[in-house]
Amino acid sequence: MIEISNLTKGYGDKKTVLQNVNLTVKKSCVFGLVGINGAGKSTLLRLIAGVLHAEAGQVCVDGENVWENERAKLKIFFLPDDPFFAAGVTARSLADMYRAVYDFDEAVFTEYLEKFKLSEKVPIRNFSKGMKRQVFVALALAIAPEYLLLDEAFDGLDPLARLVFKRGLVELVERKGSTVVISSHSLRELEDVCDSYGILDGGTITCAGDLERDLGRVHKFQAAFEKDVSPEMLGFACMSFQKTGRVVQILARGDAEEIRRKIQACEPLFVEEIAVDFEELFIGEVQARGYLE
Amino acid sequence: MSRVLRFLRFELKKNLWALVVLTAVCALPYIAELSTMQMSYVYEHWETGEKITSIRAPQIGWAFFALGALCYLAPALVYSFKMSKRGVDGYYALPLKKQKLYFVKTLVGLILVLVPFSVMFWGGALTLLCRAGNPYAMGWYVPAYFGGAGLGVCLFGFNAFVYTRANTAADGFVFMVAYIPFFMMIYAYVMQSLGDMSYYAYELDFLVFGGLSELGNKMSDLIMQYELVKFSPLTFVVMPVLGVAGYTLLFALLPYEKAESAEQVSESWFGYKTLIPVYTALMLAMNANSGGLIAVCGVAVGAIVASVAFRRKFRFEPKWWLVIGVALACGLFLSVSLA
Repeated sequence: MIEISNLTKGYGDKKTVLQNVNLTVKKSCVFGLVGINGAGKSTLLRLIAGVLHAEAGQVCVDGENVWENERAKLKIFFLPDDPFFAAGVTARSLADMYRAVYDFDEAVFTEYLEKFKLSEKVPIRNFSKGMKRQVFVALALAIAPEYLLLDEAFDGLDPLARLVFKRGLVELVERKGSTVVISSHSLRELEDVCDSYGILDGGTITCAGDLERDLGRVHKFQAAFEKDVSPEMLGFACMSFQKTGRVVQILARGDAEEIRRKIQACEPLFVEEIAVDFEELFIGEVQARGYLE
Repeated sequence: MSRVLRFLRFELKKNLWALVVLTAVCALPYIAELSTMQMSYVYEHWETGEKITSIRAPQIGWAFFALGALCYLAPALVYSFKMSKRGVDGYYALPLKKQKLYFVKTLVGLILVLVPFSVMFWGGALTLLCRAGNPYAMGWYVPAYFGGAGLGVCLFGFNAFVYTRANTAADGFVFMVAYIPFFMMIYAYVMQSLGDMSYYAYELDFLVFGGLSELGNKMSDLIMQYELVKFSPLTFVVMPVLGVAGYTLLFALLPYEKAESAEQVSESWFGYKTLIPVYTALMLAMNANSGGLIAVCGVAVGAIVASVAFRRKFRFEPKWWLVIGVALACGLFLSVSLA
């Protein structure tokens, strides 16, 4: 389990990126970390990985503080958004590096390199952005850590590689009971694999929980009105209210029947409930906080 | 095998090609030169016209010069990972404590320094030994090697510390170069202000690699069987002190190392922040009396140019202008005290 308590991190004297972050990520789950650009997702992942040191608070993995703790860090593999490789480095030499410090499954590494059709002898700098990421995906799955931290996990991957990667993640969680923390802006991809999530905003986790449960608590209705309607007329708090001509899309928390009844009270031409996805939940949350207005 | 040893083995394997290239570049031309050079030459005495046979220097100074150069190159090869955000993410996320990570990097750096030097040095010695009519006292090669290697270890340690104070590779090189005459200038100013002109005798010993240069010259004389070879008393003092300080500070300050500093302005107190005002004050102190207004303007412009390199912008905070102003004022004050 990852336990983050009262974590504060700033860069220099002026910029505080994370302020008093508290978060618990339970074991054997895929946790989606989302937030707008600059919300501090990468900083939080780098803190969990033990790369950065917090000004206050701590990150514990299985009850142990991660900072300068080899035993705790041995359970973690961090794949940053722009992973490191020196000039002339090949997939093979990277594998050698990680094999020196982690338990490394050579067979899994070779299997994924074959799946991605990558040569282990070609310098990585000659690869495209997506191919580079595929090499690191193969490394991450070969290390099969207890805690896998992925920053912008799907960035640059083609749809087929994404599918292979997602299957690999699910297998990792099922086979080894690993915990995966993924930061990504591809919320539809996250929804496929995540069972819990956290939204980072204003330097703190504003919303976190079980993804399926929280999606069930948010309802999206589409209705058409002859008259002009505003959110105030509906009689309940909207997370999002989008009007296109006579058609209105409303996102709100609460009891679905109650919301439907209140919309009906405004005499719509029709009203129907549409399934909510993670992206809509996220947009609704950030709009409710005044973004994208 | 422990994780550290496995990591060391990986780092050695990674740097093997660099090691081979450095060794070849150092050793091959040196051995080629020693295998073909004339070991003695004849010249006419300028007054008597008598023909005198003299022994040619064994070129040991080149081996010491290469050792010094390697001590400037190796820190850049092994510690440059900390100068990039990606490198820091890659290495600091590994399940190794920073002390162990830097220990391995330092060992690899020392190997990159000592192996090419050793091959070059002993390759040269062996070449001379194999040549017929060798006039050299070859026994001196043993203390010369250990003395040189020891001072090389010290120089690498000092440069490792100085280089790692920077947040970019370019700043790291600037710091290493800037420290070369740093202590010599302070020593020269202090001695000058005390009115003691004997400072010229030991001035070069305060160069960061002064001991290595002195050792190379004197061991060369001993190998040529010259008599009355006298070492400067500071040969084995300044560099070891700097080396011990370098290694100690390198490891002692690791807990305060901030990963987020990579690629940022190099704000270390051991870098520009101290070097610029100290150099400004010393340059002015030692040149204002003879150079007058031109010296003052030149040093002020130099300080501003160095500040641009430091801050990476043309607009400085008022605090930094104040620092430059105070440094210039101190320089003028110190120059007056020298006059």
